[in-house]
Amino acid sequence: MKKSLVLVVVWAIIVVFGASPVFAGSVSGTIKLGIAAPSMAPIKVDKDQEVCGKERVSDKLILSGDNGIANAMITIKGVTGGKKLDTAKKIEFVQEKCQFKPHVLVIPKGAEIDIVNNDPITHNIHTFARKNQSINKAQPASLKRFTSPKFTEVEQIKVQCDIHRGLMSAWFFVTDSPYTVVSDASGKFNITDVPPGTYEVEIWHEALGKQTEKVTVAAGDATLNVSLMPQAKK
Amino acid sequence: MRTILSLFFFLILALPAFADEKPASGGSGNVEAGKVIYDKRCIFCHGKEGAGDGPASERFSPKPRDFTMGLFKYRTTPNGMMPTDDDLFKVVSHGLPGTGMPAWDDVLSEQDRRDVVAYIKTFSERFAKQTEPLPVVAIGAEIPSSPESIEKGRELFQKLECFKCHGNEGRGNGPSALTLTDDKGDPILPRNLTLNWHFRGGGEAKDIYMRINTGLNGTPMPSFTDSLDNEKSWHLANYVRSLSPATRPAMDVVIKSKKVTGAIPTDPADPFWQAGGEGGQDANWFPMVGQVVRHERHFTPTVRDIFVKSVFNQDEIGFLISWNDPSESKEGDPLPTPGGAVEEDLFGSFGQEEDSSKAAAPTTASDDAISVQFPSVKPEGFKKPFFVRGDDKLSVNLWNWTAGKLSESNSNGIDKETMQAQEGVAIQGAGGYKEGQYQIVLKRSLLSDDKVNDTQFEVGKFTSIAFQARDGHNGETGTKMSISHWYFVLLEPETPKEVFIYPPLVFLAVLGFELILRWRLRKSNDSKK
Repeated sequence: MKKSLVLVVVWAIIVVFGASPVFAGSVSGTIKLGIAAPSMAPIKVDKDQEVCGKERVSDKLILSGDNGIANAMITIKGVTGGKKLDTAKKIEFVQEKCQFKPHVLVIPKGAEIDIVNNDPITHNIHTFARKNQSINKAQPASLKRFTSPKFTEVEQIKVQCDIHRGLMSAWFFVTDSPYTVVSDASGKFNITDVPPGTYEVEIWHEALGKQTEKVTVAAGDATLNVSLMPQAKK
Repeated sequence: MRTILSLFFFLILALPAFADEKPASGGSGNVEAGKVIYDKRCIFCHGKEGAGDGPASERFSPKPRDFTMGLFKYRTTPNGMMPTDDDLFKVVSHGLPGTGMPAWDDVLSEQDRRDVVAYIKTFSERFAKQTEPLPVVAIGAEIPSSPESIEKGRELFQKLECFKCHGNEGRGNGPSALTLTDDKGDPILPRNLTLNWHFRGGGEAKDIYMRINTGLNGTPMPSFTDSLDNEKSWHLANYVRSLSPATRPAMDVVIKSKKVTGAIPTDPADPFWQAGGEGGQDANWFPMVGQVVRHERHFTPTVRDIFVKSVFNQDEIGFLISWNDPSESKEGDPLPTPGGAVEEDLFGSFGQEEDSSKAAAPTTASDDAISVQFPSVKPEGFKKPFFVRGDDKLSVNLWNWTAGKLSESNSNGIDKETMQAQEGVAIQGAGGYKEGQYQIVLKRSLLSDDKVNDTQFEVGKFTSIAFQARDGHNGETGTKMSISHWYFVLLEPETPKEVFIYPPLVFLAVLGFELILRWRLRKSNDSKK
């Protein structure tokens, strides 16, 4: 009787955790700018000021008070096993006050997204896809929401509104890795359920380019704080 | 039984139609045969690898299609999707009017064109990945154009904010127009919707219907299909169609200057120039091309059409000249950067020496301008000065309107222009820019004192006339401009009174003669009996 109970428990453990590693940790940390913040002149808005405002901070580089970098993309490479890609998650990409939100959007390969216009004016969402089906749809105020085609290929895609060129741009990252996240407004990120191991971590930022770090996930949680440096041009 | 019979007749009737249509899927073209034709005919513009980078490509705006991107503008498939074989076949066959893409239907056989299409499809892997059949945008029951439909379309044009790029009156001059680029980053202008003979994909309502539903892949023109049903598509298409003339203007090489009794007003908005006014006749239309005859050549001009009408009275001759330009420009105006408000490189100077060898692109505009060109002296016989600003032997007389300033000059070649003294300038004129269009009146006395440098106008005589235009937002200064060929202006003599007297007299004389003839014939017939 006791023996069979143990067997059932062991079986249950295998069933529950079988798909994911039993001892998974998280990788968290902060992405910061490695040099003093550059001075950035605000963008002067020359059209639709009643919706877009008169001046805007560029969303190319958004820094917190202590130089934390928002909108950096962090991806742990070469993870085998671990959690599954969630393609059913509802993802919204919003146009509001002539700004795309979020500025960097991670899209699991195979997923579709809802594109929302909260402004009383027309925007056009134009994706510069080379592998995925490109999108360029006008979205007047009367078309509050539509669903994109499925993103079927891993690709980094530039997004812009041509009508509000220079004000409205964004990036889509179609990924087949469930270990890809974007840093928050203070530069912080947290990647959960990482199986133990030593991995390369790629950090990408629109204005700063790519940088690669290493992280080791053992029994507990790992911390990864990164200083991003602008890349010298060749 | 009736159903079977009608089905039978339907099949008989439908068969020839089906037989005509080539299958739209692959297989009808041969890739290897297509490559041979491509390497001979297409490579010069579209490049060896199909990247739109052939040796001639830099002379074109728009640039030749880069097939490797797998983005095609003129399709019948929904936004972002690949074109059908027939879509590509149509473009190869009929060309794209107003671009460097010629029609190949009278050069290549149908099979050749299908083969080329098959080869073009090898440049982008998107075609190979397209395994499912492509959906095609269906055009529903037509709503014929009517004032009601056009009005509904006008409301949609406002509501959907088409004017943001195409302008309030459709002349491609909207607030976002000058910041646009295509997916390769090359500047692109929204179509001027008032000149439908330049629409690449066809200028009729059904073509416009297709474009607003499919969008133009690889360009800022989006698909509006989620906001349009069949009815709305027709209304908007009918409205856009109504912005252009019902028929493409025919080119008449002679501008008939019309005799008027009163003064010639210099304000183009004066009722005199409007329909019903003394100078309200239809304008002549002339095509304009880039100046590619003399160095430095200009292959990508803005102004492609000019509209001209002329009147004269006993003292003066006047011209109303209009042309389209997406922007009003004066010397020193800041140029919008393609990319809009800001595309700065935040860390551009980090770890990098300033590269001073790079030629800085101009950041300011030059003046928009128009010149009307005449031979300085009426040439003997058929010899005319060279049509691009004259030649060593024969000079031309130019009336210049340059961002509001008037001047007269003479020229013996493209870089040999001599300005006349400003205090002696005799031309008068006014007008300006409104909603993507310039309208300028220029006038002068028929005769002037300077018989060597100034053209003299005589009633009943043909005078050669040509036009040159500049768009200051398009780097058009010096030799860079749009030019026309020589045409004529004829000061139409007043109809002499005799015209109204002689024809009836001749008619009566002929009638009388015939009556006499008839009477005599009858008489001689009678006498033979």
